[in-house]
Amino acid sequence: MPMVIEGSHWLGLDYLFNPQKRLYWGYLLSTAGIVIVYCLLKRQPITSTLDKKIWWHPSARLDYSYFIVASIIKMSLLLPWMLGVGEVTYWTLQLMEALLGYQQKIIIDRQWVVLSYTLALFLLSDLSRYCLHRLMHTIPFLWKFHQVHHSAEVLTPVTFYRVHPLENFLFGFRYALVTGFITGIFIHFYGANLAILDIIGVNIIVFVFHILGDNLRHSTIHLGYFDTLEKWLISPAQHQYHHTVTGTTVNYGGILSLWDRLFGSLRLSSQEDHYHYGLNEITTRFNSVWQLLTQPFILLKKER
Amino acid sequence: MNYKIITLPLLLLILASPLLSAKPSHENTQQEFLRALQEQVLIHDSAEALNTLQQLELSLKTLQASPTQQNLQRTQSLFTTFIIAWKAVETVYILGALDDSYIDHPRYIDYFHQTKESIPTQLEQALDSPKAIEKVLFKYSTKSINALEYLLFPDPQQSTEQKAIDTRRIEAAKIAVNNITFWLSEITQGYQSINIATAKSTAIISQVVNALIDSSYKLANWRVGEAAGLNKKYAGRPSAQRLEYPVSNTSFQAILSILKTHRKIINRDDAIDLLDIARMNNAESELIFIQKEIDQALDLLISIPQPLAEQIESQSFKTLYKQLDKIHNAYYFILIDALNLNATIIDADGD
Repeated sequence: MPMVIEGSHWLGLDYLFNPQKRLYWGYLLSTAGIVIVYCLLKRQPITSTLDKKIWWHPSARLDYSYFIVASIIKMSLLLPWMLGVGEVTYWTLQLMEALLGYQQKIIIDRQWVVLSYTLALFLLSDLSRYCLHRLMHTIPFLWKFHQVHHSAEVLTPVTFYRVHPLENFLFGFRYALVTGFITGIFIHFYGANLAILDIIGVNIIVFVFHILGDNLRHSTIHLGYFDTLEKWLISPAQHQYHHTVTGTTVNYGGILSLWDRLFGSLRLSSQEDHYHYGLNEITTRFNSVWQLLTQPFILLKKER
Repeated sequence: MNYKIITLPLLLLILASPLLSAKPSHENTQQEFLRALQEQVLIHDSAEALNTLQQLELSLKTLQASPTQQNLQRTQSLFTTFIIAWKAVETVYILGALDDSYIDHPRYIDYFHQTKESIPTQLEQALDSPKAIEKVLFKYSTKSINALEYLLFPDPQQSTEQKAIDTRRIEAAKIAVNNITFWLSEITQGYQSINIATAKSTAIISQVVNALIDSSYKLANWRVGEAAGLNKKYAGRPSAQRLEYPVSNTSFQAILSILKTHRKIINRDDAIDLLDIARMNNAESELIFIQKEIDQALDLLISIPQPLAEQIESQSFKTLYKQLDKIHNAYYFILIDALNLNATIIDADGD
C-alpha cells in the first residue's frame, strides 16, 4: 500500500501522499512533466505557466484558503454523516438474495472478474458523475451550490477543491451508491473472487487518467486532444471551456466525453478559442471563504 | 499537432513502474497456507472420510453375515462417524474450482436440498420391486448419503428394526456405499494430484473463502432456518423433516463438524491459517470476529438438548439460527472491507 501518514489528513498532507487524491505528489509530478513537454513543443517559456497573475490572483488565493477550511469541514462535519460503501454493498447483497435467492458463487477465471468489475466501476462511476454534474447545473437549487465551484476566475489544480460541502456530500453519496451497488452485485455472483485492478490502491483506469494530467483540467494549459479523441475523452481544454461564462451548458463529463456525446452536451476544444472564466452572475458575491460557504443559502433565501 | 500525442503517455510508465513492485513474501505465505491446507485439511479430511466409509462397508458385510442388533448399531454408529468426516470435506470443497471435471462430485454423493423427489418413496419402490436391487437403484439420489441414511435407519413407526437388517435393504446400502466410495476416492485422488500452491494462490484462496461463505449460508438457512421455519420460504412452518438427517438424528454432528471445519481453516496452531493471510492484508480483526462468532455458535449448539428434531421450535434453536446467519453476514463484511472502497468517499469528485 502507498504511504499514508497517520493523521496527516488533518494537516492537509494526506492530499499529497494519498494516491486517491488528485493532489497526490505522483500526479503533480506527472502533470509538471506534461507541462514541460507541452511548453517545449509549443515553444513557450516554461516560466509562463508560473505566472503570478494566475497563481496569486485573488481567486486563486481564495482557493487556497478555502481548501484548508473545506478540508476541516469535510473531515469533522461531513465524514460522520457520509453514507458508507460497505452499507450499500451489504444492502445490495440482501436485496439480491431476497429477489434472486442465494447464488452459489460462479467459478470463473479471477482475471475476468477483476477486469469486468474494474471496468463496471469505472463506467458507471463516470456516468453517474456526469449525471450528477449535469443536475448540479440544471436544477436551480443545486446550481446555487455548484456556483461556488464556477465562481473561480482563474483555474489552478486547487480549484478542484472549491466545492461547497453540500456538493461534496452529494458526490460522496453518489460514490457510495454506485460503488456499493456494483460491488454488491459482483459479490453476489462471484464472492471473494473479486478485486479491483489497481495501481497503488487506485482503480487502474482512474490512475491512468490522474497521471495523464487530470490536474490540467483546472489550469492555464489549454491541452486539447484531437477531435476524434475528444469525442471519447474529456480533454483539459474541454473542461476549461466548461468553466467559461458561456460554457456551463456543455462538457459535463469527468473522464469520458462519451456521455456528453450521447446526451447532446459535447463541445470540442477546437471549436473555441475564447476562455473567460467565472459566472454570468456577479462573481463578487463569492469573494471570501465565508461567502463561498454561505452565499448559496443567501441566494436561496432571496428567492423565497 | 505532435505535442498532443507526445505529452500524453510518456510519463505514465516512468512514474508508475516503481509502484508496481510485487510482494514475494505475501505470495510465499499464501503458498505455504495452501500447501498446509492441501495436506492437513483437504487430503487428510477426504482420506479420513474414505477410511470411515471403508469401515462402514466392512460393517455392512458383517451385518449381512450376522444380522444382529449389535451389528446394526455398530453400522449406524459408523454412519454417524462418516457424516462427521464427510461434512468436513463438503464444507471446504474447492476441487471443482481447481479442476472443472470435479465440479459435480459432491452432488453424486450428497442430495441434501438437491432434489424435489422423495428419496424414501423411491427407495421403498426399489425395495419392493421384484427386479435386482442394483438395477432399480440407477439414480444417484438413491445411492447417496441421504439414501444410505434411510436404509440404515428405518422409521420405527412404520416397521420393526428387523427391517433394517433385511438382506435386500443391506444390499441397497452396500450399493450406496460403493457409489459414495467411488466419488470420494476420486476426490481424494484429485486433491493428492493437484498442486494448489501455484502462482495463482490469491485466486485459490478466494475459492476457499467462497466455499466458507457458501457453507455458512447453507448451514444457517438450509440446515437450521428451514427446519425451524425461520427463513422466508418456510416462515412460521417448522418441520423436523427438513433437518438434514431427520431419520438418524445426525444433524447435530453434521452442524458441529461444519462449524469445526470453519474454525480449523481460520485458525490452527500447527500451520499457517486464514488468520495469517488476513493479518497480512490488515483484516485480522475481522477474521478474529468471525472466529469468536463461530466459537459462540459452537457453544450454543452444544447447549441445545438432543435430539435436535425435538428442539426446532425452541428458543435456543432460533438463537442458533441467528448466530449462524450472523457468521454468514460477517464473511460478506470481510470481503467488503478487503476491497477498501471507502478511501475516496470524502474526496468528492465534483467538477
